Amino acid sequence: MARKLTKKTLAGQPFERRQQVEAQLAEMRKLGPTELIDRLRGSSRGPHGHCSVEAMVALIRDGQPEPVVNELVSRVLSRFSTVAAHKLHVRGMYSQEALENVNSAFGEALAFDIVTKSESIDFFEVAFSKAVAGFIHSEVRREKSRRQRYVSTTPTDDEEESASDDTDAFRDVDKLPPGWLSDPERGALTEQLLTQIGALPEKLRKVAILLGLGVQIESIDPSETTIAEECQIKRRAVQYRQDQVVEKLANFKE
Amino acid sequence: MTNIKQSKPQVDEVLMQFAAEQSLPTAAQLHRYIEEFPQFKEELVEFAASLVEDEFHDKPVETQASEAAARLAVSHFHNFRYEFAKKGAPVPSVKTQNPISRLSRGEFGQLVERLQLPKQVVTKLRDRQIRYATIPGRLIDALASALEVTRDIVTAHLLASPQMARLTTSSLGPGEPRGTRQESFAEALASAHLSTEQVSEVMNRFSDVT
Repeated sequence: MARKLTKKTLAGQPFERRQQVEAQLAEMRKLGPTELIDRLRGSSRGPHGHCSVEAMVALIRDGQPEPVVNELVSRVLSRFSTVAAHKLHVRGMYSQEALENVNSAFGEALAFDIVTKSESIDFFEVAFSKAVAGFIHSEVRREKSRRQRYVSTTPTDDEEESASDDTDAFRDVDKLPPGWLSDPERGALTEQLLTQIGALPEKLRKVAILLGLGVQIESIDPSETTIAEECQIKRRAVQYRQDQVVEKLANFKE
Repeated sequence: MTNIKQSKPQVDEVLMQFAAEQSLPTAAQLHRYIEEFPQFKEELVEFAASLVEDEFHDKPVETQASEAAARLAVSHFHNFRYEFAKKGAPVPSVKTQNPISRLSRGEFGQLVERLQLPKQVVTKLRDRQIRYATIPGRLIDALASALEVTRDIVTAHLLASPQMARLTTSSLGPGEPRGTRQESFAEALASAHLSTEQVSEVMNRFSDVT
């Protein structure tokens, strides 16, 4: 039986590794150091050969002989760097400096974990790629802030600004087409809906995603997080984009 | 075992928890998190949207730049590890909370009972007289659970220097040395006059692997 994770969900349930990861771990834990290194390098793959990065993180945290730790750490950090670089690119915030910052922070967290068994690394055993997303988010915001110091973010006057002034920018999400938000978990983005949203142009997609997550278009409360603020556009532009989203997804049926 | 709600949360940790909880965020999940962590509302909204956006992009592929950065990270990892091994993990500040010393006499007795350890050993845990590296992970979990704090708080407490703990829990005698030698967990059990069998029972009970 493997070491259990101690982090819990918001509802208080302990996090668990995926079954596939547990199966890999059960197999890998039976191997001696040399066999384990061979397996990681892919030279002696058994029927289930593949070792996920989540399982590698768990193996590091189990405690291993030095050569095995070195092999595992090198592979985990390589994967971290690949995923982090990708996510920084997707968020439009890639720079070599940002990548090196997050890599270094993760290297430190991993080294710290080996000494202290700090539980925040638990998330990397549950869903590595998503944990990377959370881990790098502060750096994404810092990078964004660095760039905003040099680049004006004033919204441009494009066709969206020509929308009439009397449009209701506070239109409720419930007025979107039926099936937009599925029940019983209101706001669940189903696979079909994701496909539809994925086909939208980027600027409409962002508005669609935020609407799907139940974020308000605009608010009289300046502390409220809104779509207008997130997209850095005026409320009329949000309204215009929302209308376009509604139009494009009008035929969507779950 | 710990729940992030019990301590002052770090934004990165809240976001990682949010992301790991579900394969894709939902409006309901986002609202629950915003209710729980209103101070991170902006980060949560932005982050939830970025998780959905990730679904529309291809899988990550290794590049020369990411590999070069990874090699650098491996080097940093070894440097950090060497530093932690040499000096110990970063020692928390003097203000590190001692979750055991705040207990009343009665509560301390209940903790001793719950852990089923000799009172002297729990006192040594309180006063950080036991080397962190020798304390079984399950005992740290048990402490966190019994004290209703996060594991990280217990870890920070146990990692702080013993001298600080003594200063916060009792006054030093005039001739008493300010430095306090730490012992291993097994030594602490033995010095509490437990038999070899009893020491072995305790070690098995808190063993990290079942």
